[in-house]
Amino acid sequence: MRWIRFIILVYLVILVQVSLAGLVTVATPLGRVKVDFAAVAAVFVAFYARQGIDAMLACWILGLAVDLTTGGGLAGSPVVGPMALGYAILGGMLWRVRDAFFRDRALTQAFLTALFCLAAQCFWITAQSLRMGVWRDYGSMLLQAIAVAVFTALMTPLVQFVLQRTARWIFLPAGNRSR
Amino acid sequence: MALRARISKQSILVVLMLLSVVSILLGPTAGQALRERIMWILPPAEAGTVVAKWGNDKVNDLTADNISQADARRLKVQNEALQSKVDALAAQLTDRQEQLRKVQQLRNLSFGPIEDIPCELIPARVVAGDSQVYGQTRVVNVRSARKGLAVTTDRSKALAPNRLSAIALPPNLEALSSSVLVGRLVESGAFSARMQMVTDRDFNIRARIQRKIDPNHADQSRRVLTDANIGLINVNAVGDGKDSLTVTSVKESDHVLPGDWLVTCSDDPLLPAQIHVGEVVEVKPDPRRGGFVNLKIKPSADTDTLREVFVVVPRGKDALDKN
Repeated sequence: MRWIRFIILVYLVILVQVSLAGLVTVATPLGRVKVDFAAVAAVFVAFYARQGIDAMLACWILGLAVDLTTGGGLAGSPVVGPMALGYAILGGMLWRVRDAFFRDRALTQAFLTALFCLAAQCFWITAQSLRMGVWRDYGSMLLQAIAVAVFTALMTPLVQFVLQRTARWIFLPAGNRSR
Repeated sequence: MALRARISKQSILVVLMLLSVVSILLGPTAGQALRERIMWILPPAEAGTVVAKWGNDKVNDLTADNISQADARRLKVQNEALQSKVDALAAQLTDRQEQLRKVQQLRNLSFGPIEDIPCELIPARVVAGDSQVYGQTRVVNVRSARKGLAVTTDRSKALAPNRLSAIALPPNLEALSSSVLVGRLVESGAFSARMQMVTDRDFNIRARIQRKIDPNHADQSRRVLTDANIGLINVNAVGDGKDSLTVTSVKESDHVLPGDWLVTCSDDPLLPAQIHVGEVVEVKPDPRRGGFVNLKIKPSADTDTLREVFVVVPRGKDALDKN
């Protein structure tokens, strides 16, 4: 895996997440719902990384980027770490089962992204609640996470189409030793 | 070479996962410090924020109410009639303003000039939002600002009605009186700072309810200023994590109505002025306490298209000491 190029991709994904994502944010009774571009990128990495360890490391970096650019949450500043941990574990799990799915199918991509996004968000919300000891909005935030996962799944095929154009630029071709 | 061979990717991953756990255990203070260190990488997101604002403005224009041709013609005729009335009133207003200036001069001679608010207004722009949907924060491009400072925006660009100033006010007072509070700074980096919006679920402010007095008010008791409706009601407002603020435990006898305003307390050392926060849109009885009501406040600033803001930096030793 070409790590420098991957870091650039992570930076671009995060810039889109904190700025352009405002264009596709929907206000609902549950709260604001937007596309989780980092989750889509994590699924993309899990699909195409040659080694499981690469997928976990790459997902950890993505999760850390999300943690470092999340300013609000349950009560005050959120802790850094839950998303990095969650993304790494889920990325490794997804890498293990990816061969059971047709990765090029839009429906598969959307379904797996929805599951990944929901699991990561629930893990983040639960970790924050446990650490801060604040549970007042736990239920409503979980419902909001479901809405985010569904909305992200709807946009996944389009985002994956764009990300797949970068696959050759980031992932080493078969037969090359991982860097 | 031997060292590189011993450090495997598995070891790196284990170390990174352990660091994540340690960071979680260290708590929000460590997280805040880490976020402040890397905040300098976010300003390039401003280009995306500009595009997102442009897109949101276009969507707002497209979804605005359309009117028929007949209504448009009727409104045009009405507009022309109103324009001539406005011209006549403008002449009367000029006379009144001249009289008011003379009164102000007399006042200044008797009591001294109106003192300006001792603060500095630093212009800034919103460059990025929050990575996730659970917090309502924005990144603004202000350098090394102190945490806790209030952030305002110009009310003429916000949803609240613009108040015409009939008398000359000192510059800071003039600027703040036409502003609305949008949030406060909670994290500060070298080139940018993170602002917690008033709608964030962790936002909390001591504020006051100012009753709206209007000669055409639906409620008769609000058509004229009286002792009963002149006072301000001290409240505590919290963000609801969505698009409004909530005020609880307001006495029913205070007779708060939709349309009343939420304003800041002028005795706050970090914001020594009374400025708008939002407008009461809903008054509901408190289900847990008889004789009390809960209020829903809609912020006066449009959080979706917010761009230009001001950071209020109080001046003077007392303000710094209290801070």
